[in-house]
Amino acid sequence: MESVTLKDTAKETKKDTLIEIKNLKKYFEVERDLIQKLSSRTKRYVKAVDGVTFDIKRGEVFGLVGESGSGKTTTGRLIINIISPTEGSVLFDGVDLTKLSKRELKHFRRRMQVIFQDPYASLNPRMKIGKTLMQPLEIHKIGTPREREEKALELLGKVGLTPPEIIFTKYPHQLSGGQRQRVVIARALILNPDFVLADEPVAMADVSMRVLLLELMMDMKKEFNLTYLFITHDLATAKYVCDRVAIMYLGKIMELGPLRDVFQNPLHYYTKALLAAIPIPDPDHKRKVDIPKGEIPNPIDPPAGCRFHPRCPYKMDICEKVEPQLQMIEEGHYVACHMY
Amino acid sequence: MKAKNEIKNIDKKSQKKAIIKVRNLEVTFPIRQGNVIALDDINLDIYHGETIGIVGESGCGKSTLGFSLLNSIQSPGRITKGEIYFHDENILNKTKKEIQRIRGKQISMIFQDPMTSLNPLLRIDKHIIETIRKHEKNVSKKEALERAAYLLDKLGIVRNRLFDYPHQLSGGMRQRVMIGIGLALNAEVLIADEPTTSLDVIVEAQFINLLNQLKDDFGITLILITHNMGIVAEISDRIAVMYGGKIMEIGDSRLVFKDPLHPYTQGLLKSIPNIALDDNSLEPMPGFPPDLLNPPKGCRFAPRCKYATEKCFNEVPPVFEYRERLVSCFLYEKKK
Repeated sequence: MESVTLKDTAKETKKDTLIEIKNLKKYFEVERDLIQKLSSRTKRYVKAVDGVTFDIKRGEVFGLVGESGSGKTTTGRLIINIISPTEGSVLFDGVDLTKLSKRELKHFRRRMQVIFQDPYASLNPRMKIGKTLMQPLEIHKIGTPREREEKALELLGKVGLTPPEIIFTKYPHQLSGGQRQRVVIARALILNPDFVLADEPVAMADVSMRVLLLELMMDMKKEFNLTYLFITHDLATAKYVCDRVAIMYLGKIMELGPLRDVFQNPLHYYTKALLAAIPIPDPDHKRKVDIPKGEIPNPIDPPAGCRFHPRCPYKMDICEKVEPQLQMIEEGHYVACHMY
Repeated sequence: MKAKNEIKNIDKKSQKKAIIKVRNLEVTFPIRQGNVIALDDINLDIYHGETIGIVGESGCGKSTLGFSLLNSIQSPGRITKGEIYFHDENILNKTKKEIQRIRGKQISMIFQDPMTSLNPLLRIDKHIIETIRKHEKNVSKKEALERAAYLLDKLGIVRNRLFDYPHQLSGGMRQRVMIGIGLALNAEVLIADEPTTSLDVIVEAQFINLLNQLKDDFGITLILITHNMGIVAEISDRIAVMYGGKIMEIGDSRLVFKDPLHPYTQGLLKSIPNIALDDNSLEPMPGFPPDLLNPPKGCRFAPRCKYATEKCFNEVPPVFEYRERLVSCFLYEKKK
């Protein structure tokens, strides 16, 4: 696989695209109590992801940013097909994953791996680190036991867990949080994937550990020619790793574009507010944008029209009725807002 | 019952009145493998009406310090040395009953996760009314309810939400209710332990604005315990930086951010992402935080410090006064 770093959207061809997401939707049914069932009230749904379309190019770090409840994690899970979508498709290297059988999917699973937020919950407490690392190889029947062990030791060294021979024989509880997250990264890489979904990979780490983990992820990206989907609520972290970002709100993408454009010239008021809300480690810093009132509304009955209109100071009549579509304003920079 | 000898401020130049004075505080957690010294020789003054940020990474002892101020360290941990003066009275000498009167009434505390701090079976009004009537016996239910409604109104929660259960409120609202309970008794000191960690950025920003406004409205002394340097920068007058159970540096918030003295503070500030800056360089801090079961013999930070000398590994640095700061590092031993 060739590694192409793409920032030039003009030369975009299908060949450069690793993952294509088209009109992806996921509705979760809301559980009804007995009375609601008897009164035969219609089923209600949480529209966790409601029509999301974007591409991830080979070799890029695509950031999916949003507050809790925005649907970013659900989108990630739909992409790697841990859950199946209500509607829409996910094309991985041109193949629609949503149409594959479990067996066919297994082949693709090898090519996409996950790093979750919580390194305490994502490692089996009863399994030694060595076994944890070799298991994916066993499942996919790769190599001899001896080769698997060598591969596991090699990766432990690469993610900075030294001496690998000692770490290999340890249990997760004997490692610190930062070390555990390194194990999780090593496990994600052992199958030589093309694509890694990193869902809040550093949210639980301490500040001084965070930088080291991010650096490790970027080093590994170079070494293994990886493409990342980086899911985070923290725009400051996104700034340091992402090439392009999409800002999500209530199951929809509000703005999408190259990181620099989105951060330095945000178009959507929500993006502006998100950026302004981040506390800056500088006592002389003053906020330039007012913080919107209220909180993210209930995704069961999202507001009609633009989902952000109840909190938007620039609301127009049209915003309450018509849902704005993502449209390109500048090269590769999209926004869903009636002001443009 | 004033103590005869008033305890002097640590910073001798400061004329301000310290409401809380912590002296030589040591907290130990005995575990199977030995004694973990969670706090080691902590000295700290908290001045009346100020907001002090206590910052550090997980395990540095910042929350333990917060709990010590209410003498409510969870067993098996206990205070093994030192004194804590509240209005010049040592709270560690007080009976359980006396302490309970201080808790909530004079010093109240809010926590990271508002869901676990509120009783899910009690309506919001009950929480506040109960708190008020527990401490002020002569207040009628109706009066207490009025006070609760007034407080929540100040915090931006409409009156009818008073009769909701905790699960019906959003995370931001629950955290505001927690503050409401804290303020219901007109506490002088509010200890907030990671109050915004479970909140989203926009709600967090709203909450910080609210805290800033409350400082002005109620003249409360706020102790903010957090790992988030951004929040500290926005709200604190002074900062105490903790590492491995010790205070490394104390000083005016602007000074600490603009001109950090302790190598740990310097490293910490370089490793946090700053969205306002144009450059993308972050400097990671090598190494790991100390194992408090076997802490380094000298300075706790020495194994990770690029300026460390032999002395740093063998002797615990005392506190030096330098550039209006108190700093625990040999680099400032001879500087004046």
